[in-house]
Amino acid sequence: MRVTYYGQACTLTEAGGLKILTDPWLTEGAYHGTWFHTHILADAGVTPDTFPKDIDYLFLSHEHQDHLDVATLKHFRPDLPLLICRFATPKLRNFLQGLGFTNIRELPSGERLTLENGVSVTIFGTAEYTNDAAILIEHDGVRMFNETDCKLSFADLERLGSLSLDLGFYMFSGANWYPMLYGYPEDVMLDLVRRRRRTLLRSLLQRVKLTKPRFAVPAAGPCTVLDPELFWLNDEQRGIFVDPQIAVEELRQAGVAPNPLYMAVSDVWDSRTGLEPHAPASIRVPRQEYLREASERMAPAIAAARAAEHSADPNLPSLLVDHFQQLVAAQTPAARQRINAKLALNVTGKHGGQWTVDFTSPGPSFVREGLLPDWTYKIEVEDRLISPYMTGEEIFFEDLLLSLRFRGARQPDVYNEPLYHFLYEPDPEKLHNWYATR
Amino acid sequence: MPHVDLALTDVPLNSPFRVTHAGMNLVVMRTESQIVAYEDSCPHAFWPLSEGSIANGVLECPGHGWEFDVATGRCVNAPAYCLTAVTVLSDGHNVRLHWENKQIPAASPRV
Repeated sequence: MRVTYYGQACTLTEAGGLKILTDPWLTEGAYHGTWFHTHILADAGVTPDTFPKDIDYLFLSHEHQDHLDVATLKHFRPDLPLLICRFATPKLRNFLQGLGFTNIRELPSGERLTLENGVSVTIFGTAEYTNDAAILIEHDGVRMFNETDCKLSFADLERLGSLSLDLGFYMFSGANWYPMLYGYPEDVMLDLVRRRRRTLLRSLLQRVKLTKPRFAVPAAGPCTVLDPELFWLNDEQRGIFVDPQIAVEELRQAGVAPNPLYMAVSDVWDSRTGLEPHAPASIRVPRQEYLREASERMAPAIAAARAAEHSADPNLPSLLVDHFQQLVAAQTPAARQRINAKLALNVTGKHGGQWTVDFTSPGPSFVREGLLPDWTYKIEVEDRLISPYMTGEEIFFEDLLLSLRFRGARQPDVYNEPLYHFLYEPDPEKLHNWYATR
Repeated sequence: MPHVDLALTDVPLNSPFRVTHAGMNLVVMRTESQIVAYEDSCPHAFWPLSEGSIANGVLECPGHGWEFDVATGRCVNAPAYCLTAVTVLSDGHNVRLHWENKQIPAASPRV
């Protein structure tokens, strides 16, 4: 078995004459231009033109742009067999069908599927509300596990730990907006970041310890932010995006895996010979040094992309009210009660305004003009960024939050997971059923 | 009603302790002021909380760092969740944990 690493969660596994690709993301500037690879792929000679497209199976873990990149998927034939997890809703399948893919196989979590030439795959679905999945590929007694950024149940990880994994790719870095975008006082923010980073690394150690791979590779992160305005998010003290070399060192010191492995873009692991370093020396410099140079180099392209962003739809105010009114009204009273939030939206720009989405309202109206003084969660965002989600041009609202181009606030300062779930996937049946048993 | 008896000294101070009985995994925690027990499963991704650690009255799950108030079982960083409590009786020397077959939830969730 040979496994080539292409950054983030992308691996190409060659075994038994088959090529199985996972989560290809070959562009830069996902999520409204914010997310770049840990190292820009082109710096390692990886471009859509040079990337292998003669693959046999494509596994997609979930719909996040750093795992499912529409521009990248256009390089693959429509009848390519896609492997996805069977989630509670057909959201991912429908999205892929909408892109023109015709051979989508939804596999139940934990069920092994034998492919050709003795190669088998098992997809494991997340324990969380969000859609996400990991994959195990087996051939001729060699086992490769790619966790992507999926949080698996303890039982699934224990099962993986009983299988004698040879190679495992593990999430190790934060990849969202908390706590950096919440406007905390300096000392509070620094402490929250420190604690979050510590938790992320502890979790990595626990998952590696449980699954017991011979070789453990930190992967699926970190998000790299090259926009000069947001560059501070890469700071080790101010952001939760962990340097993979730090994760390797943590694994080494903890002794939870016999071989912690750092793999850069284009490096290969071979089951017979081990690591084959292919990444150029130019991307093996210390991360902060690389990032400063990359940010300066990419700044003109980022500025041009910003300048080319579409203006907001002039009807944004009415579109926004209708959008949230319909979504909240469609929820069951029990789900609304569980969310129990007053979501304040402060939309800046020519077509902006202020609204509060009130889940505590008895109805029938759930959206009010203005910011209620007792809002519980506030999002401040530019009109041109939220507009495509209201027009239907963009469908995954969390992508807006992952752009890191908003400011958030909470009062009281506690995480409201039901509200997050609503913003992630407001499917009434899924949301209701999730909380009916919790 | 299922129950299990322990000596108070069996339960370490400020360190989660697993008790398995009649197919039920429980995490028992003793602080300076009280002793409590919950189902030994984090509501997030079902990691065993008995593998976690306690600091300042807060239990941290080893899996993904979710934190729970030891006294109430309420999740500190996601208050929509709380642990499933079992009843603890103690005479100062011995501890009896008992639960209904249908487990007893802690205080109702608050968001």
